[in-house]
Amino acid sequence: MLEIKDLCAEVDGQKILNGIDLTVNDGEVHAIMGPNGSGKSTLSYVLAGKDEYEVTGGEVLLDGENLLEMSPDERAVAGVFLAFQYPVEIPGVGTMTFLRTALNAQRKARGEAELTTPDFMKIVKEASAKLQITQDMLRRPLNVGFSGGEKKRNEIFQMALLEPTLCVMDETDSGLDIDALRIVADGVNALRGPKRSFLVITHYQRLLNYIVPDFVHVMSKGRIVRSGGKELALELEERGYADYTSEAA
Amino acid sequence: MTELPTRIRTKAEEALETHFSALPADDPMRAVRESAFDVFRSNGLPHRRVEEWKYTDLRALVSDVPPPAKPAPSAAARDALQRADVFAPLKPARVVFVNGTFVPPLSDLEGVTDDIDFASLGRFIADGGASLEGALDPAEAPILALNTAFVSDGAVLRIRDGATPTRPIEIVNVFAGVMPALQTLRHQIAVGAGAKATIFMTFAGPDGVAYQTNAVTELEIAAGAEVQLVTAQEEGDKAIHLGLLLPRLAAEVKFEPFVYAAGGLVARSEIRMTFEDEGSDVGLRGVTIGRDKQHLDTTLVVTHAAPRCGGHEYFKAAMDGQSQGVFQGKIVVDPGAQKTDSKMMSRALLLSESAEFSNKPELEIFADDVVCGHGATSGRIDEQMLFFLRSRGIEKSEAERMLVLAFLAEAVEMIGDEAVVAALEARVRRRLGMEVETL
Repeated sequence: MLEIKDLCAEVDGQKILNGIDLTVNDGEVHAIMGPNGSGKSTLSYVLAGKDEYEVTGGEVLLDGENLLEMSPDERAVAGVFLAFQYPVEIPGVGTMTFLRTALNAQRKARGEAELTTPDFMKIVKEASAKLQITQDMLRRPLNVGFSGGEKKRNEIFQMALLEPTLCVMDETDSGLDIDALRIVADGVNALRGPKRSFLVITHYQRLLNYIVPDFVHVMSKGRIVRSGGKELALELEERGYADYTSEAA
Repeated sequence: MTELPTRIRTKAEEALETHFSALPADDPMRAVRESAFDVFRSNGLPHRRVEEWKYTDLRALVSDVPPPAKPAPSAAARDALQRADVFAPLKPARVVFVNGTFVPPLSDLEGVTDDIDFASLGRFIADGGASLEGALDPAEAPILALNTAFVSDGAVLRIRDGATPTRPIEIVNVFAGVMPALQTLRHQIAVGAGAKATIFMTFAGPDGVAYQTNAVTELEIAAGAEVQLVTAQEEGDKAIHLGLLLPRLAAEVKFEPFVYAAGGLVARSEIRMTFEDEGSDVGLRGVTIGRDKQHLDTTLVVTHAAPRCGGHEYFKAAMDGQSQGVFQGKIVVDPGAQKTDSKMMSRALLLSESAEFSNKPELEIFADDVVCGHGATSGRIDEQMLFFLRSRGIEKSEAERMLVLAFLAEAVEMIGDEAVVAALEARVRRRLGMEVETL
């Protein structure tokens, strides 16, 4: 369960988040929508613990624990996963090596046994097939030479392997064609469950046809200015963000 | 003798003077040594006002020079040899030098005796027949002047025309002992026409001992030969290492030298290579890993004295702690060396606030139909990449090590021989404090 209370954050001295209040219970899917500059991506980076973002007020509790005090790797171990909008390429770090290191690092930090190579390969084989991640892709250095769609599928693939409890998806649909969108959505839906929650940050309503949210929130100027059920997304599709951009910070 | 201008000699220079005068007067090579030492005497140790040594001022970095080393007792030698195991997985044939002296019982040339001729230089020195001059004017290279003055032994190795030894050949230079001493080696390698060989040059010694190594390797590669030469410099953490490699290439040679430099308190790996004839191709690469207070210098001078040769140099360094790295890369293209293709790139990663790197590329181009380029970068670990790895649960220092390894591995993986790549990568991993992986 994620509790965000009056969260304020800035970057380079500029205020971006101006008091976010949000509760996400286990098993829920919340969509965050809003115009450019509303602070959606910033929210995802602050939850993941990116250095450049300075939290200036408020708190974030994950299952009752203070998330803001944890380092990025500690947050991952605690169950947070950020699917990046622009996944980075890391030449020289093999995809398989990276996956195994990450998986075992998290298991070790939780006091669980590390995976043996055969067990690891088995899990990888299953998960990669579902997301159409090929052997060739797995052999390459992380994301190097991957198309935009392949990089996004790779994010969901990692999500499937790492089994997080809070999945924050930062504009996962940007740059995806319909087919890629379907594969990604299927991957996400397969991971939905009573112990897992999702924060789906998106610009467009389209993704939400495939990943149907329980709640939709509109962000503007660093605040959540409206919340509703999934119909809110359709309303936004029709009317745009104009009603909300005039909301004072 | 001309009056030399009075100059205050440093303690190290005085020590060298003392050690030189203590050398046997009845040495048949005495005259040659005197001549070389005279050159050293008039210039002294190189210092920062000498252009090629401006970043590695030996007058400042070398406070003293210990006396020439004595041969080590066999148990100590055997022990010391354990450290020089970087290429063990490739089961090379080996000639072993301990404290600057050839040790036959530790050497093994089985399986390659039909492909090579080997003798120890010490034998030639003893009968006055060692050919120590002619490689290069010692005035151009202080390392050479001191080497000629003090050299005790080395490998005289010839790989026969057309030979393709089935084992790589390793020249091992280890220091054994707890008392500081100076070991001076001269290796003279000739690779015959059309031969194909892999040669390893290994340096190792104990931590905590302020020993010094001066090693000069003359390498002549005849027409059409293919040579892979991999140097692993893993001297002890208080050692001073001065290494000079002098390759001369005939026509249509393929030469791949690689230098892995991680050892020593002060180390300089100098390569002065000449393309003497047409159509040769060289991939000259290296990886340097610095930490604590190490000062690690790589200095290259590549001379194209003939047309149609290609030189590609790629060096990477990762500097941590308060270490200092230096890369000097000079390309000289003589008039008439048309159709030269010569590129040089040096990339350094600075891992701490106090680490430093100096890059000095130089191009002297006297022909007009050539392609030459150089590049040099130095910077920090990419924050985006680091954050990504951490966001997946990998803790900070492990994530940094992964990125440093990836950075350095790129250069190592340019080596064509997979077994060599694996051996060097295992070493790099170990040096970075990572597990040696098997996936």
